[in-house]
Amino acid sequence: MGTRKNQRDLTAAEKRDFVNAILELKRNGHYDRFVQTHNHFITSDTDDSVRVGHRSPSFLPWHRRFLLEFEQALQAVNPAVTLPYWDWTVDRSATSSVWAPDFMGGDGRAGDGQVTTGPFAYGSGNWTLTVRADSRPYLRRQLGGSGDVLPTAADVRSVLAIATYDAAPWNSRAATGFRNSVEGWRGPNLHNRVHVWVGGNMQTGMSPNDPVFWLHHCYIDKLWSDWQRAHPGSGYLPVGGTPDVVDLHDAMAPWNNVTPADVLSHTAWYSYA
Amino acid sequence: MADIRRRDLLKLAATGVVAVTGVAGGTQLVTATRSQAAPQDHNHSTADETFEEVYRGRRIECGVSGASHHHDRRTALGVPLAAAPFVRIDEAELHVMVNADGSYTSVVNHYKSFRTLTDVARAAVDDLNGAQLLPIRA
Repeated sequence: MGTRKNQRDLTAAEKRDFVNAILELKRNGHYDRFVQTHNHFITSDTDDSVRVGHRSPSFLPWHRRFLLEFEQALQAVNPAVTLPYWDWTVDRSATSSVWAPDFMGGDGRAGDGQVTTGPFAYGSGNWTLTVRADSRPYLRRQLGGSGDVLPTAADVRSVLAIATYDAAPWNSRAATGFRNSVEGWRGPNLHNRVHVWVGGNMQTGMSPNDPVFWLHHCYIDKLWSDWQRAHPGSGYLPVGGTPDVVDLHDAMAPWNNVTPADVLSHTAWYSYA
Repeated sequence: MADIRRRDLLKLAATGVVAVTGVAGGTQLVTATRSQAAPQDHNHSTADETFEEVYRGRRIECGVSGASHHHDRRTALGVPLAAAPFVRIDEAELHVMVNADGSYTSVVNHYKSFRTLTDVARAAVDDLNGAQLLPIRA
């Protein structure tokens, strides 16, 4: 079992191992399959039809399973690697160490938004986008360019205080429930706002093209874990018979052999530091 | 007006309400039909909202096809949610979806909502910054 750490606490060697494992998955083609899977789901997860990965109760368990698969792919390269998380309530500026040249690399440059520093800069020759929405093959960011600020610790506390997991109509319009607030379609907007704040590829359906995707979603996964501990009497909803939605014991595509109930606890695979 | 094709004008003229206005960044042509213009055959596909403009030098075409007029929920512009919206930028398709509150989201802005198809299309043009859309492998 691994320990997932805050990225700000990683040693230089841990950062290097994480980055190198990602670069190896990119080189061998495995990485882009994750990008493709994510885009396939987010572009077909609609509010009024079958929805699995997004805008639905299974947003959290689907991404937990998705991240676990990615982490296991990294560990096939280097068994010492675990996913780090980015706590954007603390590291909330474009000069935070998460954006340093030895880790995620920095903001996009003026003009075309191209990331030109760090291991994922197009000029490094190791990070050409192949699953993409447009003709630009390079990683782009525009940190804070949307005019938004990152969610605050108070925003997170207000969402963690919501006692019910999710609510009808079980989509982006659910007026109450932890899931829709953490996903960001309601309330202070946590998850969605961070994608938009990073900008560039992170706000597209192919958002895993930016490796900070994994650090952001690792923190979202940690928030779910924190919420579970704060509300031990509140379980996953809905539990059965809900059209178009993954109920507690329904299998989740694309794996079709894992249900939300199977991943409610992550302690068999990892813990959070 | 010079950018609008004759076939589009003919199509729009046949649908009812047509408004032509000049806006900053381009010329736009908007049309929206009212529900009384809906065909009696609910299986009949129709484009009941179409829009075309040149924005920042890019040709935007958007509209809604396959509208199901008996559907209760509608977008801010009154388009039935069961309808399939489309956006093309320089004739390349931009993947868009209707959100449950009637707003729109596109593949290049998938984590926020836009009130109208025009808004989501213009945001995509802004983001593309001159780049060409590629077909999405679904």
